[in-house]
Amino acid sequence: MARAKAGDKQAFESLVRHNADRLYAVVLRFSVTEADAEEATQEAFLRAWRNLGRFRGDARFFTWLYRIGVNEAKRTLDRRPAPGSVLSTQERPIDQIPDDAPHLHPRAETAELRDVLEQAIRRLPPKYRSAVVLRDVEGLSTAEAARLLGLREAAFKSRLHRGRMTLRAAVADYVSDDNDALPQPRCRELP
Amino acid sequence: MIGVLSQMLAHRFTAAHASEYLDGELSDAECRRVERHTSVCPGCRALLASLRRLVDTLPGLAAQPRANVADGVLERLQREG
Repeated sequence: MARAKAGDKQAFESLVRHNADRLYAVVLRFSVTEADAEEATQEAFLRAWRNLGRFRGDARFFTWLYRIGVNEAKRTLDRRPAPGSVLSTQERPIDQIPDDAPHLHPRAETAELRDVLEQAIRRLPPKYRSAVVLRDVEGLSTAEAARLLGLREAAFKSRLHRGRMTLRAAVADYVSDDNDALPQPRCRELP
Repeated sequence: MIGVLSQMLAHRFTAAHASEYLDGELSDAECRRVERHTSVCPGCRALLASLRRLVDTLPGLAAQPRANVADGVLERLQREG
């Protein structure tokens, strides 16, 4: 990184080889087509190279790169909104969203459900999609993802929850009510 | 009457904070409030279970790498960098 920041192009090329696939995978979720995603990935690295001097090193390089890549993809997406967006739950209080997906079935682990989820993610409104993709698919922490999107953590958490609730409704066909156990207790002790 | 109101508020609280509960981001008091409520509310228990399954499934969606992405970037870098 230090060599790349000092203008060593070969060092930057090795950063490209190390991070390109992963960045492309993220950017693809914010793009309409694979070609758009590839273009956005290339633009992101070009911008990163030209602005590497501004990378302060207080964030992980990939988090910085994410921000550039996601912004590039969102610019493209804003110009070409995805058709057939699912009805978002954003206009309704969260407790009024129909509880039509009581439990995800074990089929959740099947390829078919993964496909359904992939499609549902692509139809999410961008602000919910970015939260779900960064936090749940890519595994960033809440703090990292909120910072990357320029949001306060409370606002990020709200988007994440609404995104998850919308996805949950979208996979309603893959649910059954064969399990009502409370998942992984989080409290230290019940009174 | 107070019991019903309290139950309704706890229901709303759980529905609004289910993700934070699953992510371990509630305070101990809030967490206990959720667990007290879900112990008597099958609907909220179901909500938490299905969200947990969803959240556990999503990391498996990480997109497959595509060949030549880096090559395309490096070509652009050579041309325009």
